[in-house]
Amino acid sequence: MLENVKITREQTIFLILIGALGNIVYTHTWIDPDTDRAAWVASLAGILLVIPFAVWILYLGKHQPGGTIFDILESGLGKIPCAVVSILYILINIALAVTILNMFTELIKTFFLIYTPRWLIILVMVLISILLLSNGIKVLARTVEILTVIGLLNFFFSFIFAFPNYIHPEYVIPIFDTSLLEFIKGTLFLSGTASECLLLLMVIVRFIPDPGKHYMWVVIGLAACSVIFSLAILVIIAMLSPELATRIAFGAVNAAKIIKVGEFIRGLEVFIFGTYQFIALGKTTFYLYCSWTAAKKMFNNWKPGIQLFLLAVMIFVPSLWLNSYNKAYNWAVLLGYIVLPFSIFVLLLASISIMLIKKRTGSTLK
Amino acid sequence: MNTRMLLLACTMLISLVLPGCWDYAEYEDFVQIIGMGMDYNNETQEITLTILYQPTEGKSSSQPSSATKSGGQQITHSATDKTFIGAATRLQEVVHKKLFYGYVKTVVISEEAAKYNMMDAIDLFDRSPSIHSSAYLAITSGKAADVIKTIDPYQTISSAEKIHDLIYFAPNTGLAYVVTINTFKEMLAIGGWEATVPHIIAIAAKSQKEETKSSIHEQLMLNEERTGAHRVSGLAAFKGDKFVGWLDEKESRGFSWITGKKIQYYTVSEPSSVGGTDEILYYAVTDSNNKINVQMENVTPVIYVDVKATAVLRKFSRDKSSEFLSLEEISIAEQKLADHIRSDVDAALNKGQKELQSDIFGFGFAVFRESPPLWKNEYEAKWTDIFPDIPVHVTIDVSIPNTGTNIKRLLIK
Repeated sequence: MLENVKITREQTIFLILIGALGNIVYTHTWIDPDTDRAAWVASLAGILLVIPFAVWILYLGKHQPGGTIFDILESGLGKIPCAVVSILYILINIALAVTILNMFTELIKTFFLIYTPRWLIILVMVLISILLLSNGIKVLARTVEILTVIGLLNFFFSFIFAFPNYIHPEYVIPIFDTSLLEFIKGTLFLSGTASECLLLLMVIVRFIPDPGKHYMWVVIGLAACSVIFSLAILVIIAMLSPELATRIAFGAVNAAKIIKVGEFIRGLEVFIFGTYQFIALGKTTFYLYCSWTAAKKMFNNWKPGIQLFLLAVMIFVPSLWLNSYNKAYNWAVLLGYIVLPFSIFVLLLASISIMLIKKRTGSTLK
Repeated sequence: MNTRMLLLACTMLISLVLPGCWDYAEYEDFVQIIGMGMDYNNETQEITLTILYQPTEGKSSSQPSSATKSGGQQITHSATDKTFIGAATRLQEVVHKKLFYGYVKTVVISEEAAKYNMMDAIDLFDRSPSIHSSAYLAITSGKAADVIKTIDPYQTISSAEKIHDLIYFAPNTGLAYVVTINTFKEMLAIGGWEATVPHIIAIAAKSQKEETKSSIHEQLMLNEERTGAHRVSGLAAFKGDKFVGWLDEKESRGFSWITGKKIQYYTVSEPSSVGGTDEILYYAVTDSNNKINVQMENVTPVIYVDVKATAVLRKFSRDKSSEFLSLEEISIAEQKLADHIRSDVDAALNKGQKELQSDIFGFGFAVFRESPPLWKNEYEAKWTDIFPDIPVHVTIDVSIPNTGTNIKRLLIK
């Protein structure tokens, strides 16, 4: 299982950035009734709160260089507990992939390709994910790096046209119009959804050179993600008002739709759609990659190509079965409450594993 | 490597070829609707939807263009049904191409529809991705269909485009401001802020007031055309989602002063009873802004509106002044403009607060911004009841930084 491939600082930052931006781009509205105008602050704080857990993974990673969290679990707890955790991990990743694919597909079908069958859109997404994965982590990391830069430039250049006419400071100030308890509730939910990046980090930690030393890479990735995402929420609120922003299905696309500069500049939602597409594609690939890595571990690297294909089918079929934006949204919200506790549970088990390994080898934790 | 290449080839083939198949359409297969009108009959509870579009077919150069002879080439059809969607479906029955709503520029809603059935249209616009929420909204005191069908024979643009432009340039008169579908939704959704929408009227040409050219068939009115012109005539005020009344020109201008809309227009001072029209001063307003402050006095919110306007002098009284315009005279000119603005503001406040009892000025929203907890716990529920009695204090501050191109009056020998 050990691979010698190493990813760079920039690649790690971008992988973490996109890793945290998954279902959150659709489900962030879930917290709006709680956080009201402070939704963007909750986004900022919520994503930043994931940092300690990400650093925890890197700390664990330094005890088994070149290995994933599942390698640690297997070494410490044995094959069967590791397999149980891996199955749960795979199921969560498949569920997350199904929800994001459904929400993204409905976004395309709502605004752009109304009559194109959804199976085709999902199939194309899954096929591209397989293609990216079949070329290894290095290619995936480079692709994510390029697409993230394009996606972000695309996103913020489109919203430049919103200034100053479509930005209403009165929709943002005062910032806090909610109670502390409600704000914390919203922030914790966003931490939960952003912690999807922990699932990815559990497996890519083996590619980060000397993870114990390079914890700042993930800190920067998550800090950048929190600033970028909260800025996007802030712009949406300032454009649409918190009252309208709370009820829209596709935040940035809906906001971009109202931008019109003269008779020529309009329809900027097409560009914003590009960013959504990159995120959906990146995340589907990550979920598939995470599931695949855990499955390969479970089956001792037996026919990885077939495993990848089967996992892709396991994402494709339920995605078709779910067939609803609203159902996917509700599932994604539910998963938002599951991912972080599950991640903490896995990290606790991994920490126990390391303690057991150290005990067995007679050394002490540094 | 071969498997990868095969996968790459398959994916590219599927990506490039298939997604376009189901949604493939030529520009000429659509009619681009640019204007919509909605009327409502409260007795029959029927909606009449009027659409305006320009044909997308190309014309040969030898063919005479109707645009050259009758203001803009436009086609209008109306259909009546119990529902908005039903009327739209009926219209599709008579148009040989797919109706495309993505380029709607203006939506005109009749007074009766605004009073009884506004949300039928707004909820549809809100959920339909095909209609851009940047389309302008206007309310008419007559029939929306008449407004949409009225074309100016001397202009080469359609009625929808003309109404769009009139609203866009309305700040030049201070009578109205741009309200898009999205702005209207914001005003509906935000607490303590009632909606206002430009009031548009169609003035039919004298000779054709009762004449229209059209054919009627089973609740469909096809190719109707009226000649005339349009005019922005102030604002329509709402309370919740219901239309409650009109603001005339003076009240609309007062509303614009209070709410800090950018007004750039020519105005005059109030005529004095002694001097007659000779005493009237002309001003060009170059800038305006406002500030709404809230202070709690004896558990009652008191609103302080501070209006600031900058204007330049365009006409001074003819013979009754010194050769130079003294600072004192400029100060008097500023006071006269301030008095004029105050009378506009008072008219608007009287209409909105006392008569219509609708918080079109957003004073409740100002209370919320001052203290969100106080608004939520104390005032939000009862704001409609207490709003008419909320004290409002207005301060007008006018400055005239220059007197135009001259500093002396014209001496006539």
